[in-house]
Amino acid sequence: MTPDSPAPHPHPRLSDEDEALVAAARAGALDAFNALVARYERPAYGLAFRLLGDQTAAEDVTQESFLAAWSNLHTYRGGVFKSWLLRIVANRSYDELRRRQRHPSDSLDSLPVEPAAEWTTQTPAETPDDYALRRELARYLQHGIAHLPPDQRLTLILADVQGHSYDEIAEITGVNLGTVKSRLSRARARLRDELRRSRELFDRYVRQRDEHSAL
Amino acid sequence: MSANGSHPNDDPNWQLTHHLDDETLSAYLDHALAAPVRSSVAAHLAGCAACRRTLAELRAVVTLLGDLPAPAPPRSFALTPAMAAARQPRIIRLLPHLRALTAVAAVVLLISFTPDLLSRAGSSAAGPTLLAPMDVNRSPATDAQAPAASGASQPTTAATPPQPPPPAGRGEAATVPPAPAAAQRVPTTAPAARRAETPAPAAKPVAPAAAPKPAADQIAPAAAQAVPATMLPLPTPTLAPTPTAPATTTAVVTPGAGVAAPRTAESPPPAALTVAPRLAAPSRPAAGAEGSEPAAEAGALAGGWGWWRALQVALALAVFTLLLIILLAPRLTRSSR
Repeated sequence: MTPDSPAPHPHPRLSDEDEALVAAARAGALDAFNALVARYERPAYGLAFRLLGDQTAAEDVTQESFLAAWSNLHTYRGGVFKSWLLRIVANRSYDELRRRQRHPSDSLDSLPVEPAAEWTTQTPAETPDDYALRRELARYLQHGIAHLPPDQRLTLILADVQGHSYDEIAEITGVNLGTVKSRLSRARARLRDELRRSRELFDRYVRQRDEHSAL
Repeated sequence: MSANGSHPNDDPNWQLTHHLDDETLSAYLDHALAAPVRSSVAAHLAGCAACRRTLAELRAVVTLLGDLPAPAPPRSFALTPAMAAARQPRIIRLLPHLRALTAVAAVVLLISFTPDLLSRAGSSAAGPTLLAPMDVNRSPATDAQAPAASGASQPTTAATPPQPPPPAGRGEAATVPPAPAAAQRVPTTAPAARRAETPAPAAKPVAPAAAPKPAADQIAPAAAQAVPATMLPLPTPTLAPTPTAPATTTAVVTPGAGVAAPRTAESPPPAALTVAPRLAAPSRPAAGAEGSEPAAEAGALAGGWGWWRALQVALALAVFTLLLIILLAPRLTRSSR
């Protein structure tokens, strides 16, 4: 969904290997299923992490999701396996979010705490200044994501963080394309408003991006 | 940067008077606009700095999001065999075995019908071993009974098949209710026997029907014999009108034969009488053999074929139940997500 920047996250489709693995797993081959786990645990965990904001909860949800996928393999009726799996992750994350809403005292913080380690990756092309700017803005971004309504949050993460297409998002979230588009645009607009709060930083960043890309 | 309700599509002057809304810009960013709309948006952007700015901000947000690193999973989420076994409902794990079991049971069930099919194909039946006791029972009374019984039995035997597990049928053809094959045999013999009955006056042409007829004959008498022998649990209340005709036959032929007896006993007897003895004698051996099969089925309750039929029923039920389990197990064990 970012036509200008290089696609950082390739999104694989249901390949022949996947089909073979799924078929074997359905027949009861745990090895085949674990091969699928290895293939998709990164986007699965990433989605749970971004939705929930903390590592422990994300771990639990991810493990539960894979267990549920294993139990319910017989209900998987084809289509992109990754979408089916991510749908399970999204639903379980929603369950966790709802549980948090009912028992706010359970969570230590109302805002999810992002481990600092995540932001320390500086790309080779970046100057230290650029990197610092990006890291600062990313903190506001995280704050903004945490305050999005769950539907918009899920759509935004799938589209802009993980790079899924509209169709894939529709499949994962179970809504039509129009709803996907409107949720995405609203989520982006809210984040933009959030970032405008630190006007100076944001302006600087926007100018910088403008210089790097054609309109 | 205000968002307006109108859309580039509706108004040719749109680009001069409005600014682009977030949804349009967002779709533009993703190359998700139709060509004509896209070009009118592009045209507007060319002339509107405010919208260009908004678009740039949206693009920055998307880029920032895309640059977020994908968090590395802190550990592997592969399932251990213990975890996997705990999570798979036992029924689902057994499904492949259940399917195999169903297939085997179905095949066995089908094979079990082979004796019935074979005996139907051939005129002689299996079970000569059961012939002796039946033979003994076939006293001279049989012949006397045969005509009346045959006349009486035919309509009744024809009647019984339509109601597979009929108490009436039990008594009469005594074809064991759960034995579809036996029930099938009765119709084949009944129509033939009836054919024999109607042209009864023309006794000679009955000869071709001799084989089935004696069979029908035998069904009744044998059944009649079996009735007292085994003692039918159901004395067939339906057949209330006890035949008044052949006194000798009354007691034995009542079960099932009763209804028709009064009516048919009179007409066919003469012809049947002539026919029966003639046919009965020469064909007795063959008929005996023929009769042993239905007799056997008639005497089902006495043992012999009884357990076989029961086994078939059990197999059929098992196959049906297994199929239900196989079909419904996935639905019933589906976890919440």
